[in-house]
Amino acid sequence: MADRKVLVVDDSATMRQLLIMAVRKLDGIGPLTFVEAVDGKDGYEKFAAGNFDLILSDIKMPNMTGLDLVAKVRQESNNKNVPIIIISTKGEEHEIQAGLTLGANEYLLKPISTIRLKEVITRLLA
Amino acid sequence: MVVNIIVDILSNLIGAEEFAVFTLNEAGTELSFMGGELADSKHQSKKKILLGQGVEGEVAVKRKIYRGDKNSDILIAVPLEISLPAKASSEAVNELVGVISIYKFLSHKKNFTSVDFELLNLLAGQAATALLCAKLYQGTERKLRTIEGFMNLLRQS
Repeated sequence: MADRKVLVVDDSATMRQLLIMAVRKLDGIGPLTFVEAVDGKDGYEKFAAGNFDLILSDIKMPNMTGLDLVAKVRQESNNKNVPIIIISTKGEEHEIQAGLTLGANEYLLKPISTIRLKEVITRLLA
Repeated sequence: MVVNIIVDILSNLIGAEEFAVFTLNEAGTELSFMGGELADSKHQSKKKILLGQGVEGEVAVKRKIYRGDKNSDILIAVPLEISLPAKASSEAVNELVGVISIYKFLSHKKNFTSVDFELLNLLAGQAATALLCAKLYQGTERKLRTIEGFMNLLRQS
């Protein structure tokens, strides 16, 4: 089976590395290839240049926020089905609703629970 | 750089919303604010703290973790210590590098569990080592530049 491509968008290099490390350690997901992006703009450019199977994105980032990235990806008809998981420290109900309304499939709160992360990724990549 | 990584971990893995990282000055007399998240916080004015002054200053002197209750101004303050071999004997001495103070957790984080506490302790140990290494590296670089400048001066004269 070919590796599935995951786009990891976060302005914190530490967070990107931790997230990739956490996802790599999850069992039963299959081989994954990761591409990192430093903000929403970089994320969108990389997304447009390659076929991705999953996007993991933070919200609060310079240049383009994660919410703007979700909106931009969903605006294009051929990207309606790419799973998007928002991973953020912003946990207010209206913030979660905003992310899901724009088209994110899941909204996970930091600090991340690896059990929840596995459950969500397994379901979305099934 | 090191402080940025510590800040990222405190925010993203520990779930702290308002917090500060302080380091001990060369003279060992006061703690200086090095980084953190203090926007709109009443702790914003904490740029320098004398040893023994306030919770952070006390933690630095006593080298003991402070844990307040959920209504306290300071929820948790951890000394950043590193174990180094003593100069005169074979015993190790604990050197204080700084203090991490957490004032508020993210609103959706209801409890500070024993796993969180363990993680914070682990971070404190690693952070102390990283901060000390960064300080030593900076000192070496500074000395190297001074010597290089001096050598250039000698060559020119």
